[in-house]
Amino acid sequence: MRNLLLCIALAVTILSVSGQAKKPILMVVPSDSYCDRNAFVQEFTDEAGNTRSISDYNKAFKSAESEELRLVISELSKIMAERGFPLKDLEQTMKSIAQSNVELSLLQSSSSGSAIRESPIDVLKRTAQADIIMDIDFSVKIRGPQRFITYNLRAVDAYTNKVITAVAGDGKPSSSASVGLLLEEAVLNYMDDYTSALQNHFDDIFTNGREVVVVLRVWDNADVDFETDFEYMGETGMLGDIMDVWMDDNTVNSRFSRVSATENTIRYEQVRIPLFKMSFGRERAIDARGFINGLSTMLKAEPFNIQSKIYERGLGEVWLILGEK
Amino acid sequence: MKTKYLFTLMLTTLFCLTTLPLDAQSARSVNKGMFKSAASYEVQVLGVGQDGTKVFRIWAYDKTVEAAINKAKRDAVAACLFSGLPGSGHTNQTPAICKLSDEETHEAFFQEFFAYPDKKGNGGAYLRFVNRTTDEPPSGKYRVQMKGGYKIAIDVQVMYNNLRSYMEEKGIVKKLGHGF
Repeated sequence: MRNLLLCIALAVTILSVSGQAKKPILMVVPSDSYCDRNAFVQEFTDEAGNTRSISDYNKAFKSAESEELRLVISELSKIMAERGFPLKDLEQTMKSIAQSNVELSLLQSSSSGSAIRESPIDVLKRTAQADIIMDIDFSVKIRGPQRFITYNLRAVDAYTNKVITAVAGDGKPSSSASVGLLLEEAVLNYMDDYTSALQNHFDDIFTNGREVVVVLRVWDNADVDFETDFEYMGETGMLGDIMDVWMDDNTVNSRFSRVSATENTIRYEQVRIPLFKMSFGRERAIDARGFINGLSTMLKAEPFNIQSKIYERGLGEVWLILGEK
Repeated sequence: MKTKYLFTLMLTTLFCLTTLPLDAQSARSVNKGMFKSAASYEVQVLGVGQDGTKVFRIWAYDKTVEAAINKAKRDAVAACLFSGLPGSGHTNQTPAICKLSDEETHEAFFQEFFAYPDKKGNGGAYLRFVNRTTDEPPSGKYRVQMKGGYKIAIDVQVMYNNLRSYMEEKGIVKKLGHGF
């Protein structure tokens, strides 16, 4: 009886999930210029002896001067949640990562005392990730007795690095309003335009497919490369050209750009992938990994017989490394 | 020659008689469909409103001041829905809530939504989303007597977020991220 109930619950869950495309994660991230201006940076010396700096978000949120940043992020989060698109919180995500790092280092199995298996890549990927970065920059300017806000908010696709939308401008100067009020006004002033552009971007995704980046690589010990000849569909061609044929057949309206290609690497950008694919008997939502899975399956079969590893960098970028898993 | 002249005159008269009523009819239908996108709303944004609201001044024309005020209130909602609000000074533009095609696709809905209240007070839902910032009748440069009526301007507050949510609830517009 319990199994039957579990099966029904599973079926209901699957049915309710079907028809929903994979949702991108949005996160507000303070811009590098904001962090630099407010000294929220970490400095280090690289191999060449040059001093370089990177934004330190932990410092940005812990600083006493971060009150304004938190206020802007809260206001943006509130508006996006009201519009039905809650944001992933950067500060909370970083706390959660720090917490899980501690837990992972302490966790042991009760029978053998074994630790959790983690590769260096697993460690590297435990970072705050988002598909669309809401890059925020603002500063309080003073003109005579008046203060005003210079505000700049961009939405950037984390994989294609394309700016989806951007709003920027100066707020109305005031000699009496608090900085908090001026900031709130700045956020409210631009949000309708901003969310409207985001909606247009999502509409474009549903019409023309999700835009992703696909990179094909070869393991160092592989016995094939992209110049190896194969017979495919009655013709002989180089593996790299056969990859183009597969992309042409499987992208939405054959939309993709091969931006670079060598015997070891092929990089495709502006690849428009369908949001859904027939898989295990029914239509399922897919991301870049689900899309490239089809190519991996094709390469595994005759006449190629090539094993490959899929390495995903999020919803929108995937690498397929040929030779072995 | 005289017959030819008379024939031309008759033809011209007949042409005028047949086309003029048609033009008048066409103008009336255009007036009845006042919320069509072709309508141009005279709007001046007064600043960034409170969260979820838009505050602006809107002009309207009608036979009486009261009728013009009612028309202005309805136009204020229609402007937010179909044309958006222009930017002004330090205020950014606001995009229209609906797409151009929505007016035609959901024509019956909008006819009902924009219906003026009858004597019993039963009117379209648009009234829920617009408030005047004062009850005083417009005066001075905001009340101009013209031939056949008045052109007035009133300051209104439109509950923009509530209006958008209502349109989402009724399936007229999609929620942000709909389909994900």
